[in-house]
Amino acid sequence: MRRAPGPLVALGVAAAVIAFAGDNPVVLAAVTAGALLLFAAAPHRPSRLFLLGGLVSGLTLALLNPFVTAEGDLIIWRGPEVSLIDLEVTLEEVVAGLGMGLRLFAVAVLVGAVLAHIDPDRLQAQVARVAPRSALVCALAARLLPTLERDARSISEAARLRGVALAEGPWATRARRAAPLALPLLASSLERGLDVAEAMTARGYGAGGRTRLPEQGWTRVERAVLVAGLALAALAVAAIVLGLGDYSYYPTLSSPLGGGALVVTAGALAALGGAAALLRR
Amino acid sequence: MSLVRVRDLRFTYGGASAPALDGIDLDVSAGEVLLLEGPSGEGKSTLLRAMCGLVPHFHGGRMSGRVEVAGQDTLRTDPSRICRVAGMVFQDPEGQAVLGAVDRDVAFGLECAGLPPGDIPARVTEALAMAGAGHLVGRAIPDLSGGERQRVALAAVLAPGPRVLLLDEPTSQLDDDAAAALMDTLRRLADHAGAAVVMAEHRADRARVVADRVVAVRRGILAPPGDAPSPARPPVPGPRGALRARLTGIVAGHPGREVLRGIDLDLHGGEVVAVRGPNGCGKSTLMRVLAGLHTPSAGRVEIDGADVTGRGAEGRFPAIGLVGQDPGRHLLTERVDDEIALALRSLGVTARAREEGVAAMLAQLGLTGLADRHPLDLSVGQRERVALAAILVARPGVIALDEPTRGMDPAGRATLAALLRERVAEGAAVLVATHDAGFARAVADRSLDMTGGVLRAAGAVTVGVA
Repeated sequence: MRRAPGPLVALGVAAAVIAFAGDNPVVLAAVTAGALLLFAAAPHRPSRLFLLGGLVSGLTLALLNPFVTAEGDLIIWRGPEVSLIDLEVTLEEVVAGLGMGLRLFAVAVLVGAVLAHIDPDRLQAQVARVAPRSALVCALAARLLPTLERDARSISEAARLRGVALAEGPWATRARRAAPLALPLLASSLERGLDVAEAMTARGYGAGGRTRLPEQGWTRVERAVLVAGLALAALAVAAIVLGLGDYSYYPTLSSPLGGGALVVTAGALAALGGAAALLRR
Repeated sequence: MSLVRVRDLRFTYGGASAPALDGIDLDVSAGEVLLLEGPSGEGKSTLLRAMCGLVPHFHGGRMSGRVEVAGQDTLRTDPSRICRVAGMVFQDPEGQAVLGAVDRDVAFGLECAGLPPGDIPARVTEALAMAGAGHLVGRAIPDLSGGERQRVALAAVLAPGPRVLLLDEPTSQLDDDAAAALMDTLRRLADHAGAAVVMAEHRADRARVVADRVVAVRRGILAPPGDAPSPARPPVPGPRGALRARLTGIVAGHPGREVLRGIDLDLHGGEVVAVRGPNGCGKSTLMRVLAGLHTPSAGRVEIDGADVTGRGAEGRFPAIGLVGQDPGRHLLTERVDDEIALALRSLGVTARAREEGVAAMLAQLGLTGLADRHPLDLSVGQRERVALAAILVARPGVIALDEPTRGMDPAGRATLAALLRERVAEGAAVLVATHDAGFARAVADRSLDMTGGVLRAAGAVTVGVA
């Protein structure tokens, strides 16, 4: 089942703070592993866009870093001299790039996992206390997006059934064939928008003086997730203030397995993994 | 006591040349169930919308005459206030959910009405119970079946306690059991809560049993209803032709859920095969596997003797034509004739032959006169016929139809049945997945039941109501 937003947001923010608080690759790996556990425990399959987007952007960052940074002692490849681009690649730059990529991937997975666990209606109800119209627009957009995705698939299938070879040929050819389908998709989404607008009118939207369904209290699982989130937040503050698990890739690589790093790693894994186990029940 | 009073109602949509309603006089009493019949696109939905103020307030257009609902003049009262006395359930339950969870969506109308927050949960529970959806509390609406969504939509409309209930094709997405349960609920609401129920419904066999009165809307005016539908005659089977399609050992499904568990099916030219079964039993997946839109995890698909298992839908065109569910939503062009011509373009048919083919299809499906219209300007039933024409015009040897009569009026169903029999007489094989028992009886040579992902012969087709 989908959950109240508060505890999940607290847990996600605390984990993201830990991911950004230091560069230690072991800590980053622990946050990534915890985020993946949370992702896997989602009641509905989270959008793969978060996984794919995080992976592509993380790898891009890892690939670019050696060419925009000029640090590190152990040179592993040296190219020709080119202005603005550093074609002297060091092992430290590569590992640092991988660390940054891992952080980006972890945060993308965290966002996807938290969104997949949260009940969008409860989130909308909470945002509606301060911005009712914006909250409703967001809720409707969230509700209509999967419909739009389904319509896009159905429209392309309708074309394929009439001999339009959308799934064959090179990418550019497929894109050219698919382009005209944007128009019926737009028409279909406008029509669905009108349908919802009509239904809202028919159900009294805009009469003024709107009240709200009282919020449900948090369940034991949600309270436990909040405790995990608060504990992780306390650990994040401690890591920043006390420098637990501080690490630097430059000038030369060293072992990331210090006592502080192990504490933060264990804490992150315990909080995220424990929350995932609770939420999976 | 008359809860709805309509006097000399005339209404023309903006940009339309002819009126949608052309002088309607109608009274509906408390506790009465009124059934509106009539062909697609001739005014039923517009009349329902006029009774809750959406016409003209939401749709615009020119209106004259008077509509009163529980004493409120709909022209002078905002629809957001009329909804407290007249609730409308639309044809597509997916289109009317505003929020994602069942109880929150049902609460939406109560919140809009400004009900004290403490009173809302009890009213939500009561409305869900009245609609037979009490077990759905807390569920996400996208996870519900069509029948469950329809019940939630009904609960959402019932929650503010309207005295008039308006329903547009409420059973079009339901199987027989769900439709019968909905009809029982409506009868109960009229009898016990004193509600006036007005519903537009093409499936007279489902709705007439609970209706106190039946009127037809034809070309914008009220008319006497037609006779009760006569029992459909099973078709006279013609000679069985060559094998057109063969499914062998088909296993298919979705991640974590196997839907088809070893389907074997032969389709011969000259026969119509109906597949029946409850919502979600796998009929649509079977159709999609046959058409190349769903790759089976095991098994083999042959069409006209060729193994096409590895080919997608475009690779099977024009040997097979599939009309999926809700095809009217997924039309591709901006004119009805262009829509029908699209498949012929793919086949490289000359312009002259295309024109002739399109004209013939328009005539066969009763769409003549709509050739230059935008498909989105048509009624649901008319759109479904356009989608059918767009596939059938390529003259596929195997025709697969998934719930083809949804939203279709009786005349449209009869036309479709005749067209399919004509195609099988020419050697085509037809596979129809349908909840519509009357249509199946009228068109099918044999019937199959799908349960547990397996097809079983349904035995002889019995005579019933069309």
